[in-house]
Amino acid sequence: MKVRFWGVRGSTPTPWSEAMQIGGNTSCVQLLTQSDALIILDAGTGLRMLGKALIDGGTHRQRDIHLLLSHTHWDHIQGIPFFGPLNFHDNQMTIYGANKTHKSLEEVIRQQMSPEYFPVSLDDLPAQIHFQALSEERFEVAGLQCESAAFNHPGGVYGFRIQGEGATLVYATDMEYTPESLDPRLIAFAQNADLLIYDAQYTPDELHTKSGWGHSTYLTAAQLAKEAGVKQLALFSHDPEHADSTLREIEAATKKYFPASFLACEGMVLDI
Amino acid sequence: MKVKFWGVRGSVPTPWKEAVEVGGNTSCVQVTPDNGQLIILDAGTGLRFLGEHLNATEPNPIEGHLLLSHAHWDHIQGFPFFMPAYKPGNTFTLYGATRARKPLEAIMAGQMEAPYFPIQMTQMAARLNFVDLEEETFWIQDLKVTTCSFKHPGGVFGFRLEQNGQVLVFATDMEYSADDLDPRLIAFAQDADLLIYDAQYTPEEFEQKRGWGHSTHLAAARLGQLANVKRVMLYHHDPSHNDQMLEAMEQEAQAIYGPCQLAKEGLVIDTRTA
Repeated sequence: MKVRFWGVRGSTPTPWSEAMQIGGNTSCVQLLTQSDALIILDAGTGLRMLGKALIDGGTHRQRDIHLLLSHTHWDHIQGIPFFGPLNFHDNQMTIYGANKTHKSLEEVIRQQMSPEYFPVSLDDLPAQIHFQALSEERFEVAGLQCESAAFNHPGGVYGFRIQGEGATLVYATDMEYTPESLDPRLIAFAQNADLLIYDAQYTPDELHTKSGWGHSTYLTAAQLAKEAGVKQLALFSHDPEHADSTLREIEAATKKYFPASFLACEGMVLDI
Repeated sequence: MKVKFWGVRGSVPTPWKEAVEVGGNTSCVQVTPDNGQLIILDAGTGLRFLGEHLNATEPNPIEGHLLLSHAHWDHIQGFPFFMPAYKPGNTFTLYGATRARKPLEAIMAGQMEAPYFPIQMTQMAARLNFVDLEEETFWIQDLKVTTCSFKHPGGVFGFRLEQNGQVLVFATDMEYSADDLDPRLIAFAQDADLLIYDAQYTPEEFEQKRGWGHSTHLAAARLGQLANVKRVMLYHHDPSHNDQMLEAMEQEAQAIYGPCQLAKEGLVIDTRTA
């Protein structure tokens, strides 16, 4: 299994010359497996670039697309209206995510494209789009064994543990824990992963003023990686205020606690 | 009037190495009239950077006026990240239209509801006022503002701002080609010192994307010429256009009407020297 990062930024896209090295598109990670299916984690603006790459490469037709959403804050869904393959009738996409008390997953995604906010409605898109409501459960996606578990984020978030082709990936972004308050469920969830992609949005100083906003620090990421015994840690969901130079400092600081860690960068491909 | 471009991109922000020179933040323009008021046109991601600038430079309470052409994402998505709106003592008045039967306040609050955003608009500590506009003329102190509706899915307003003999026209997100310009639009832009106009597509893209609500750089140039505008700013750049392509479009527009110029992030222009 390989992983490709299309968007690594948290909160809001950062078209900023000082952030171009690490990348400014919001959350989107693609899993590359032996299956023909497209497997995608989150649909931030990175999804637009993934769609463009498929179209440029002529591999955008007759695709079976699986999109797993950790949650539906804007930076995790704002790429959907700009995902080019949805303009082709012979593609089908299944969107997996939580139903909310007052709104189903489908209503949440549909409302993003309602006429006051967007010129094209979900029904206008030629591709077949299906919705699969998730609870905390085990399920299968294109031959991969997946598990969803809920963690601490305003409005809720799912982490995903994905196993297949002899490798285990844990995707755990947008969750608030400190090194001292790590949820034992999260440590168990990330146990022995080959790659852990984890929310490292804040510095400890920032967490001080942004407690309750639903994000962790790089120190939490390192502590979790250590306690769960993961092979590699990718720091993810970079804060929009953090320039490349700040992020490189964060990476160096993280390596002191957990050497097998690195910044998730846009365009990076990893064989796990 | 002084004009500063904080976001010049259309549709979606483009954090892209090849677009850094022109800029990737979505629609946001700051206008400073002679009396120093804070007037903001549109609230795309450029607004986040304007907010950082205001927080860093303005120790006193801020009173600002945000005029929204319409409420498609690329024109409002910066508002949840506009830090001055979280500061007690600041006051912002937002002007826009009821769209899809939803009043402006409900549209702006809807952007910040669960499960889309962790902070609700009611948690913004600044005083927020909302004004639903029709086609009308109104005043913000001695700044005269005229609104007019143009052709865009779901509707859009152009804004004509006048003060002390200076005229700025902001007309983005509207679909006209160089040979089917609306006479109402020509009249609306007449004799402007500065016209900021939607130049998203090339003519080929315009043909493929009819009905999507955008114009070409050639329509911008032609409008500037017919309306006797002093300077035309090509605005709302397509997310697929890199710096190089935009510079080529600028030259094509200039071949039709000399005083055409690409709107770039960070650019400041005084209407008096336009």
